Parts: sequence; C-alpha cells; structure tokens
Amino acid sequence: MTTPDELARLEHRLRDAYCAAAQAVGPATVRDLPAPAELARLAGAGPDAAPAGGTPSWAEQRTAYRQRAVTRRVAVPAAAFAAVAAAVLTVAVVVPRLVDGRTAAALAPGGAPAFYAAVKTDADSAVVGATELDIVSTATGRVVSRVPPPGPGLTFQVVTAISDDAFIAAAEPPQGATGASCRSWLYRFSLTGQGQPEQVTRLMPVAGLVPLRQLAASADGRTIAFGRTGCSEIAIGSGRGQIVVQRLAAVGSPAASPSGGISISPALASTPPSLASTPPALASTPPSLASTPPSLASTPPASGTTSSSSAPAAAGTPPGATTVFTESPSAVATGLGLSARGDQLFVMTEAWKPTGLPSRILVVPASSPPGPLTQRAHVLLSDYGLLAMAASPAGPEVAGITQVPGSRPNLPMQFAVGEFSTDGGADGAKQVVPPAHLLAPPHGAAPPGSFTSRTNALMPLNIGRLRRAYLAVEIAGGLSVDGSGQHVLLFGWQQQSHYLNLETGQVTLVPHDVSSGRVRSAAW
Amino acid sequence: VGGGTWASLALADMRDDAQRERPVGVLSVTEPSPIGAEQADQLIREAHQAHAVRLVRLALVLLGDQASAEDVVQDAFLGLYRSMGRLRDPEKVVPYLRASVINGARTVLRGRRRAAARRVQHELPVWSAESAAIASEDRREVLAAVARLPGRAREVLALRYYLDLTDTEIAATLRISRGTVSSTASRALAVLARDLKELP
Repeated sequence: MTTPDELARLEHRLRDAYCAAAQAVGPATVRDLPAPAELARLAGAGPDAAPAGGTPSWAEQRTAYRQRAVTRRVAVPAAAFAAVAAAVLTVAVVVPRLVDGRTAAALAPGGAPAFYAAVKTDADSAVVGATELDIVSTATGRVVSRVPPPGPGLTFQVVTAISDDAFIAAAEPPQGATGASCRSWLYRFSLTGQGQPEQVTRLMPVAGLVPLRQLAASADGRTIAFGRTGCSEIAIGSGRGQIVVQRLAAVGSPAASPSGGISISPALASTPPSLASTPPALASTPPSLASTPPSLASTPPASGTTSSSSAPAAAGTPPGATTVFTESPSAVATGLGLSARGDQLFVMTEAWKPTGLPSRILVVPASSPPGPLTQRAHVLLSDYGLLAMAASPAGPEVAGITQVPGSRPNLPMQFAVGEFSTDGGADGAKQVVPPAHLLAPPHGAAPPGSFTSRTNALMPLNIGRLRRAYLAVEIAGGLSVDGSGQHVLLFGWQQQSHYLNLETGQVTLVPHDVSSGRVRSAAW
Repeated sequence: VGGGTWASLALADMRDDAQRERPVGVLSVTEPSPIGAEQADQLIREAHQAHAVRLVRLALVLLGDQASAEDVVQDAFLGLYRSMGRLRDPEKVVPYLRASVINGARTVLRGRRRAAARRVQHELPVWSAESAAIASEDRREVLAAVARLPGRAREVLALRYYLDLTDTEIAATLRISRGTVSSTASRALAVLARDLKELP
C-alpha cells in the first residue's frame, strides 16, 4: 500500500519532472507556422476545401454527414445481416440441394455426370466371374459406393442408365456356376447426390440367358431391351440369340429398401418365392421365354418366324408387351440402345470373322412385328471400323466408335466418336460433312444412312459432331452417353475410362484405380 | 495507490487497445460557419501564438524529443486550419489541438516501434542519461520510469500531472470513461512507486 504522503511525494516528483522536461521548450524555440500561402498549400486547398462550384453550405455538409452516419449505422449492419442470411441460406438450402439433388450431377468436371455405375470383375473373389457394381466418381475415379449383391450366388453382369442418377442392372449367377437357374434378375436403383444407391427395386426375372450380354433402357424408364442367348451350350455357341424389347410399366415388383440395400430373399439364386408371385404380365410371357428356349437354336435363320408374341412395343403399347427379334446367324448383337420413349431400337451387330462383313448399326422401330432383325431393321451405319455403339438416352442420336482407317491392329488405334443423327435427315436442318472414311466406305460396305422416325425411312447420311479420340486401344470396351447427350463415357478401353465432351472434343481421363477389376459394363 | 503491476497495466492497455488506437478528438460540429482562407489564417495564428508552447511541451513529455514534438504540433495546427470552417466554438480549439497532439504522438511512437524493429536510432529522449536537457538525476529517473509505462498510462499521467486536467477532461480527450482514467492512473502510479522505490 502507498500512503497518502508517499503518493503525494510521487505526484510531486512527477510534476517536477514534467515541468523540468517542458522547460526545454520556450516561446523562442517553438517553430512558427508557415507563411499563409505555404500553410494553405500544406493544408491542401485551404480550410474545408470546397468543390469547384463553391463552398458547400453547412446544411449540405450536415446532410452529407448524417447520410454517412446513416450509412454506417444502418447500411453496414444491414449488409452484415444480409451476408449472414445469405451464408445461412446457402448452408441450409443450397448446399443440401447441391449435395442431395440432381444439381450435384452438374458439378462434375465439364458438366459431365458426377458418377457412373460400373460392373467390374472382382479380382479378389474366389468365385470365377464374380463382379462388383461400383458407383465411381467421374472426377476422381474413386469408388464412392457399391451396390451390394442382390443375393447369395448372384452378381451383377451388366448395367445401363435411365438417367444420370437412375440405373437398371442385371444380376445372375456367375458364369459357369453350378446349379444356375438360367435366369437373370433386373434391378432398378437410384443414386443420391453423394453417389449412394437408394431405392433398389427388383423389377423382374428374365429367363433364358446366361450371361445377359447387352442391356438398354429408354430415358423414360418404361422400356428396356436386352440381348440373350439360350442356356444350352448349343444355343450359346451358335451365335444366335434374341433381342427383346419389353415394356416395364406393369411388370415391376417394387421392393424398395430405405437403407439402400436390396430387400430380396436370400434364396433368390434358386427359384425365389417371389417368382410364384410374379405379376401376370410375366406369367403370360411365352413359354419359350419362361424356360430355356430350345426354339432359339432351332429357329431357321432366314425363316422370318419369331419366338415371341407379336405384340408391338411402341410407346403406346400396353405394359408388359414384349417384342423379340432374332439375330442373324452371321452376326451377333454387341450393342443395344433405345430412344428416349423406347420407340426406336438401335442394335450394333458384329459379323463373325469368317463372313468378312462389316459391322453395322441398325435401327428398328420397336413397333415392328417380331422376326428376324435384319429383315425389320434399317442399316444406319455400316463400317469395318465400328467398335462400339450407344444411343443417346434423351435424344434421337446414336454415338459410335469407329476405328480410323489405316491404323493397324497391332498398333494403338485412333478412333472417332461421333453422333449419328437418326431424326434429322427429313428436314435437312443439319448440314454437316461426314468424315472422309465414312463417305468412302470400304468395298462391300453399305453407305451410311440416316433414319427418321417420322417416315420410318432411311435418309441420306446426316452425321453430326464427330470427334476423334486418340486413345491407345488394345482391349476393347464400350461407351455410354449421358442424359444430356453431350458426354460419352468410354470405359474398358485399354483398361481405362475416359469421358468425351462431344461439343468441345475434349477427352478427359478418369483417374484409374489399378487395384480395381476390369470394367465389363458401365453407364451414366 | 493499489498494487498495480506491469502485467496488469499491459493487460489493461491491451483490453482498451481499440479505444486507445481510435483517434481522440473533441471537435464539435454544432455550428455552421463558412470561412475564408484569410480569416482562417488569422485565427490559426492566434491560436498558435496562444497555445503552441504548451502543446509542444505536452508533445515533448509524451515523445521525449523536441523535433518530433514540434512536428506533431505543426500537424495539429494544420488539421485545425483544414477544419476551421467547421469550428465555431472557440472553446473547442484547445481540446481539439490537444487531441490532435495526442493522436500525432501515438503515430510517432508507432513509427518508432517500427524503426526500433529495424534498429534505426532516433534522437535521444530528454530523460536519457546522455541528455543534458534535464539536469536532475531524479527527474530523469522519473521520466525514464514513465517512458516504460504503456501508452495509455503515459497519456493519462501527462494530462493529469503536466496539463493538470481533471479526470473528466482526460476522459473526454482520450475518449475513454472517467473510471478508466482513474484506474489507469492508479495502476500507473503504483508501478511508478515500486519502480522508483517509493515502496519498501
């Protein structure tokens, strides 16, 4: 504690010290102010420098001052509040929508879908032919989720997209598995904004194909097409099969699982109980479909007879109707596609090598009567360089991969990805120059054409937006067109996946996880 | 005087840092008065003649060297010259100049801290042992002890014991509360007493 005397003495010392220090300054030592002109110069334009129009009145100055004060007191807090509100709104509303909704797909690089589904061989599984259905991030190539196997002894074999976030996949016993039921099972599932599968729903069993080779779905999700062969070794080896177009609206048996799992019986690999409760539409499937179809192998190649019902499968056809086309014995279907409403079926056929015929892209109205495919279809494109084909889900276009002539099989190939318009030939709105090697098809190949659904007629070639992708290709893969028709996923080529922007021609490599198995089927 | 410490003074100084760094001023803008350059020049010179010496001394005790003190005062008068049109009440002139000097002194001290960081030597303060401005050893010790106080404490002590301002006037000049003035002065005196061995 300091006593009052000590405090007084300290204060006195302080005052004394201050005064002593201040004595160094006297009137004679203080610097005088500058001359008036210099003072005005140093101070700027002068006291209360006014604009050129004259000195503002005090009222004006006061008004300006108060306006600034109002700005500080009102506008600044208001702006702060608005900023906070915007941040809260962004976090509470926009971000969840971006993360959980369809908008998330738009966030993928270059506007491509954020995820794609890929069926890969499971290299770690002891079961031969076992696969995994992975959801892969387009940007990173990482597997963000995995659709669990639908049941013991079943693995996914092929997947196709309805839209950017909805898929149909087929599962069946691994190839060569004993006790196979000679059936495949179709499932439909959706993706959340985070790429998690949800609403996994069993659609129906499909009899008589092991394995199911191709699968396509229309953008409206009401029509599917798949290729199948008979279960017998004779049927598989004959190279002849069926292309089936089927309406789905009344066929499905939804069994959605809120957890994203597949809510089906574990005994599905055998004859599941649910088969007995198969909807009437399936029960009415022709006997040749419901069981192993021996008629497939016995169908005369050029007889024109069919092994299915004759119900047309156009947009207006009743749900459950099925149309079956038989393949030519000399060529097998290697790719399928459906138009947006399911009224047009696109088939890529690859000839058996001994025939020496080129590959073809065929288009056939789904309302055509069942029968031999080659007799019902129009040749959209015929070329020796065709490697793969896929239809644009939302548009009347087909994307194909064609090998550039001159490239040799033992060298990395260059191939082109183009959109082959199927509905623009009638009005001639598009005026594009097709690539030279398509204008001059190899000897024996038919000139490419364009098909219009309005007249069901083959029109002169109308090829648009052809882009060449120079990729090293030794192992063939496939392709998938996104819902916008702007991006093509190239999967399985040289065990890598790329995606191509058809507008810009930019090819982007999806970072590949070398530990994952080979991609057998993929879609977005 | 309470048992203040350097730490408590520094803490109080940090706590009020925002206020301390905020420019002080008591310029009143209650009366409008457009004013010409000639009239402003006359008024500013009258004010300079009347208050310059005392303001330079105030700046000197805050800064320690006369050159910087005179610069600060010159700047204060220049500011007054610019604001003359808004200053109608003559009683506000001195508080305005005083506040300007304190603000200017703070600016100089900040510059010195930056210069010290770069090891740039400035003029020796009057309370240094080498300075002959203050003959008494005791006075130099007192001013050296004051110089070691935080900025807010130095300002309060200078305004109270050199200008003899009341705590209310100091509070108005520094734009702090009267209680803050009192507590700051109390802690500063306690530190000085211990530093100058006034306490056992």
